[in-house]
Amino acid sequence: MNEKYLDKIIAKSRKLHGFCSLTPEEAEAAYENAEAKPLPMGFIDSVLKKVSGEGEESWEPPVSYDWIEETDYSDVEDGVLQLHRNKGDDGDQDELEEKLRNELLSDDDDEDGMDGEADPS
Amino acid sequence: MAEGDPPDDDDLAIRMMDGEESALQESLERYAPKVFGYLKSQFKYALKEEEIEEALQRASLKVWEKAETYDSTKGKLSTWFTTIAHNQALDIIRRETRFKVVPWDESCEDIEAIEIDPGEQPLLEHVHDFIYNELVGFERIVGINFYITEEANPKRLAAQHGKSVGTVNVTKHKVKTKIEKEILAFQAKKQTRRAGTTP
Repeated sequence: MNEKYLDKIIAKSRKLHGFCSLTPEEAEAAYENAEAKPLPMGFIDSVLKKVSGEGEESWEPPVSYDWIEETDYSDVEDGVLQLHRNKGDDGDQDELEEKLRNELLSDDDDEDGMDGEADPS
Repeated sequence: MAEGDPPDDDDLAIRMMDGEESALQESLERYAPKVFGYLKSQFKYALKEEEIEEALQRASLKVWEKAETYDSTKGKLSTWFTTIAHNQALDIIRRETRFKVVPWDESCEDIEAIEIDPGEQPLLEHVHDFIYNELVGFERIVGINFYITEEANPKRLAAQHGKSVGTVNVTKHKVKTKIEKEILAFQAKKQTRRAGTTP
């Protein structure tokens, strides 16, 4: 299938379901059909404080760290312990220490080895 | 306007232009709960709760900052607020154009070019339902975000779900291939049905 045709079908479906920028008519219908929901606690006060320049006390959405997964560093820790055991005995100590430091700081998620910047498509 | 009547949209906009914060408060009390309800319903599968709240906050600040651009001949204040909130939600999915408001007229420019033939509607519904109901896991998340806007930011999805940007891009490609197969299957089924009914 021609990719342009596929993109066009998706774009049309997107518009049909109200995800393009709204026309005034669509926005009016969206507002009229919406169900009122209680605002977050202190929301209006925080907006008012922000516009009056009391920004430091302003309300901010809570930051979620749910997506951070625990990382298993056991193999690296073993290496570090090994390094400490051999401290002073190993001539390549600096090089090994640098290698372990880089390993600790590297991105384990970089599955393709391209730092996630390459577009495979 | 008679004394004691609630202020109309023009009055609220003019007072906001004059820097009267009580006009913003009245506007938010009157319209924000429904705008919030709209955002929650329309973007519930693409944005986290705190991102929806962020979109509403950004939109509220824009209503205040851009009050002088409000034109009541083009629509109600509630409609204008909804449009701004909708655009802010899309901006969060894109995570590129922070605090940029798409002007009313320009925002409609590209839409008018898309014409939907009523005959195509079942297929367009099917594409939506396939992405929302048939895809699962991370493919569903990626599918919904890129369905809502082609410019969805892979870095945001990668950070939120503990994946690499490469994984997001590969998933997007896989999802597109699945949608393509689904469209072909849908069209083939339609063709078979049509052939079956032809004498």
